[in-house]
Amino acid sequence: MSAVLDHVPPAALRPWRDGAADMTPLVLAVVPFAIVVGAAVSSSPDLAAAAATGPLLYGGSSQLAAIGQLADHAPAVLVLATATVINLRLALYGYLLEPVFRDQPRWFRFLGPYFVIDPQFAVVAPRLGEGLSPTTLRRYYLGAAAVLWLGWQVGTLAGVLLGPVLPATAAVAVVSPAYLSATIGKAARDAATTTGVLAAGAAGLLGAHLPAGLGLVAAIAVGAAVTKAARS
Amino acid sequence: MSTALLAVFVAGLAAYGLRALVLVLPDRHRPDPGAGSFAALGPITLAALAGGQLAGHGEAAGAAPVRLLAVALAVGVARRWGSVGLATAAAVGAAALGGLVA
Repeated sequence: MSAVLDHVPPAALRPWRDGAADMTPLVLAVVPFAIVVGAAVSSSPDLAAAAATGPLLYGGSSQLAAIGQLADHAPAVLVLATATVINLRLALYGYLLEPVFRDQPRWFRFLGPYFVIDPQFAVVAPRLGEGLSPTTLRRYYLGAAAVLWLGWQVGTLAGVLLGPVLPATAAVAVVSPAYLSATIGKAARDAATTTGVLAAGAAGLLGAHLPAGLGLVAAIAVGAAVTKAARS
Repeated sequence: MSTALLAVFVAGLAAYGLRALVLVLPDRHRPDPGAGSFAALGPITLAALAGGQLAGHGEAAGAAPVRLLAVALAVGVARRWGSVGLATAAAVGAAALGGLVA
């Protein structure tokens, strides 16, 4: 492996390393969530189907929902509908990340979207305005994606093995919202966007218990409407 | 293949379809990264997601204020020191301490 890497120019490896390095803190933040998902997998009556959610759905919220519904023996069409509604945001992430997929080889245009998920969006989106070349952007994206994907699958496997002995604590529950909020809070924004962000967060909190993940979609709509109103 | 496994497989295909949906849009519907409304959608989406996750499910009474304070701390640390990793670690530490006290 090192013999192969010796022939790769260092400049070509840098975007991979940068992407991996920028993703690492987020992976550390999402691993506890992956462990929670793994614990749910381990207690599922259909272990194969529950385990398959990791590589197939590749999204904690929809995985948890699907695993819970499978455990309740919900109809397959309901599992599909719920996961799809929860994953509606992925269409928005894909839309926002579309510049990453422009002027890229066909294999990347097929493979790249598979990795679109919250931390990937959080890491890659800020780089879009930096004028990176398609090649550099692709390598950065894949470096980040590889670390996140591996971290998520390993974390899930750890949850399968350790799940039954893990307690549900406030510290574990706060990891995911904390890193999302920190990602948003890190960058200074204009007043209208900040108002919209606060409105979206409050609406997401209040609407969290709406059925089938509708709270998230409604909260995004509220945030967008508030931002638009604040700008006008 | 069991019905459950088939449902997960189809749900996975649907998830991929949503992720890749933008690639089949005509060019005139592709996003303009420089537009202000486009740039705002990213943080709005993350905030909505964070809000939903903050609500939690079935934790003990007293956990919600601890989570809110921990997340507020994360935002403060991220703005002050610019590190998402440090901010998340601070929030988790605060939540762990708060969980002991609550």
